[in-house]
Amino acid sequence: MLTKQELDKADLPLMSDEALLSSSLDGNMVAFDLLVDRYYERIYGYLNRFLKDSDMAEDLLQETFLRVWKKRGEFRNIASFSTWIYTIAGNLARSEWRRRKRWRMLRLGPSDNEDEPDYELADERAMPDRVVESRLAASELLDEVAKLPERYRQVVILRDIQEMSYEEIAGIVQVPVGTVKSRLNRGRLILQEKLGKWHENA
Amino acid sequence: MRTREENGYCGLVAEVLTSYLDHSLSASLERDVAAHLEECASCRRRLEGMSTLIFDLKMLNSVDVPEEISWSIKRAVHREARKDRVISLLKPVPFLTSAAAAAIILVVAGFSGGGTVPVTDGDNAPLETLSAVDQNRLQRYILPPQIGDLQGSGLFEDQLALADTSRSETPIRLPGARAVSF
Repeated sequence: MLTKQELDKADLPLMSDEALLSSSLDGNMVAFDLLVDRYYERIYGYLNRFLKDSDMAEDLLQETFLRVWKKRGEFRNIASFSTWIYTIAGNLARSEWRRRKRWRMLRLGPSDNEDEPDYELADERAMPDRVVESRLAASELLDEVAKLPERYRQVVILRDIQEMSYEEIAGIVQVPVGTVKSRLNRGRLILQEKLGKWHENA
Repeated sequence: MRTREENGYCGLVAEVLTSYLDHSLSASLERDVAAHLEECASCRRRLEGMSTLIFDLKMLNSVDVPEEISWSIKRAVHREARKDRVISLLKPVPFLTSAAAAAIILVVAGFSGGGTVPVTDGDNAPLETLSAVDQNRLQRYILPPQIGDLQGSGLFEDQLALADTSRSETPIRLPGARAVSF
């Protein structure tokens, strides 16, 4: 005969994200661990694609979950847990990106052109498992995604790489759906232009 | 984005390609765009290129995630949870001064109960001693639950062990509390 605690534990994997978070408010660490299991790969992928830096993605991933833990009492069911955690991760990633940008400007001098490519060493660990046409093509695509202005990069990653709905992205980025679509379109056009030899069949 | 040979309409079509691919344009606009694409090879190439790009980007969804990441996240969160528990134990006694709060650690680490408790800064220079009132409060409200809870919490274990065995001068810190030495 299972105890109530054991029954609760058995039910946890079937619970919604929001219910798990609520359970963690009572100190249920197993419930929170399950949320980590559900989201860490996706959030890592998002951070890694956004920053193109595996080490920083790991750091910010941990920071994301720590913030979720600390602020779990502030979560309101207006948005889904998914939207909430992506918003937290996105804010951390954008702050980090801006910090780096300021640092680069200090080192290299100011540049008004946000689209201007920056020289960066390739991060081998950011490579995907399945390459697109070749390792080089995937690598180049990742490079160009990472160089997109952040407002375009964020929606391209969330929509085209992570395959989220427009509504979810609008919740995360906190702009209307129409703005998400126009940013996505602009981001795709920029990528097409940069990757012309692969993505425009001349 | 636009090439010299493109007319204004090509530019407009470029702006709505994503919506066209999603079939989220109004019926009349979708018809217009489709008609333009029939005639304009440049816009067709751009549309095909965008479809290819979207396909390729989806392939980037797979990313190698170091296996140990989830464990390190869980460890960090559990550590935070333990810290929260200890801090919550200190909250029910709002009248305690920061010096008194800091002294809790001292007490847990082996407070003998007699004499005064020196509270020092990082250089171990004595700054003040706890008042008799604070000591009394500590003994009445804090001592019995604090010893057990803190020792079982996993927090400050290194410091506690160190204090127990060698009674070193290593200062320790609690959030919001002054550094103390023992």
